[in-house]
Amino acid sequence: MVPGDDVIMTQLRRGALEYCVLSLLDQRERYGREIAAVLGADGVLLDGDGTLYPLLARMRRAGHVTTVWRESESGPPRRYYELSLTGRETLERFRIVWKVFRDAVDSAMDETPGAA
Amino acid sequence: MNTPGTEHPLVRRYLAALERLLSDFDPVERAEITEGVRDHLCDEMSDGDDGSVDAALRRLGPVEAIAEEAMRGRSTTVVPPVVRPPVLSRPWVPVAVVALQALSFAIVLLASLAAPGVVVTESSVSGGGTTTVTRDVVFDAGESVDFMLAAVLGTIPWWPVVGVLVGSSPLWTAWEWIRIVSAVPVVGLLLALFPVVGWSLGGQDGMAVAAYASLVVCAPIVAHAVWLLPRRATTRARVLARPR
Repeated sequence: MVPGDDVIMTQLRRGALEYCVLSLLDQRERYGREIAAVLGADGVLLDGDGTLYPLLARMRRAGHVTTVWRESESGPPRRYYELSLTGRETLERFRIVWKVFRDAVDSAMDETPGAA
Repeated sequence: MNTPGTEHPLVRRYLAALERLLSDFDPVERAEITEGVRDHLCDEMSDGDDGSVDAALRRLGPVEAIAEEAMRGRSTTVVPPVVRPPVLSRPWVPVAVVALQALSFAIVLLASLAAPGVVVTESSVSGGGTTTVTRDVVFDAGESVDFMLAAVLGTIPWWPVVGVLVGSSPLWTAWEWIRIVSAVPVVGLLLALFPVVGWSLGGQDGMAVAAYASLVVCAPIVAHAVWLLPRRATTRARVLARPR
């Protein structure tokens, strides 16, 4: 059975999405809808905005992010997510590993007959 | 945080469906996820009119997708059922074996201390103004060995029970069974034979040295049978007792 694009995309997302969130938070603290807007802009990294929240809960439990409530100019207070020290270290490690992994996959794809 | 937007029927239905799908989750985790989604909707609703509700819910995606994402790395209050291991795989079995083995060894050791040893007889003959004292030191090896054999037999019924327990339990291998079951008779034999050999080599002094040597030789055999092998079995029993 040939997996569909969405199945392959889901599998790839699962490995990388958390680190993409960490990378966004490395720039500055953000609230959930803001993170969803950036990651979901092209529909690749985030299929539905709602799936971000279980991930954020998991990352908070793992100690990669911390949260703080801040008043908003328009609307109710927002929960902001910020990178913890552990999260920063995890992100640094991912950046190194990702480069190796990406290059290995690209290399394997290039060597496969029929690759573009 | 509820705003007029989150009171919209579509939103309430959406959040209720999400709560239902996460119903067996840890309450704190469930609340964190649903609050995050609710706050996301609050933020969206603070912008627009009713027409944006459908769009906001579409952007959130189906509740099933959110629940599926939550399933990964979930924590839940549901405790998996504990499957108890078979009776002879439980931690009490090595404890029982140790107790019975220790009792058997105690009987054998006490018997070795009480076994007939050297018998010294003195006789004196007086005559011609002098007294001659004859001292005979006798050691009946056969009687000593018989005594020890009786001591080993005296460990019945404990020793066969050990054999049956260990042989029926999956906590020991076949080779370990052989080592445990043979420990008591081997120790009894050594405690009986060492003094005999010592006597034949060095008389009374040789027998005394050999008796002490037998204790030194038997100590690791006893330690093996009442500590090392049961400890391995206890570790295996604990592994089997872990919830799956």
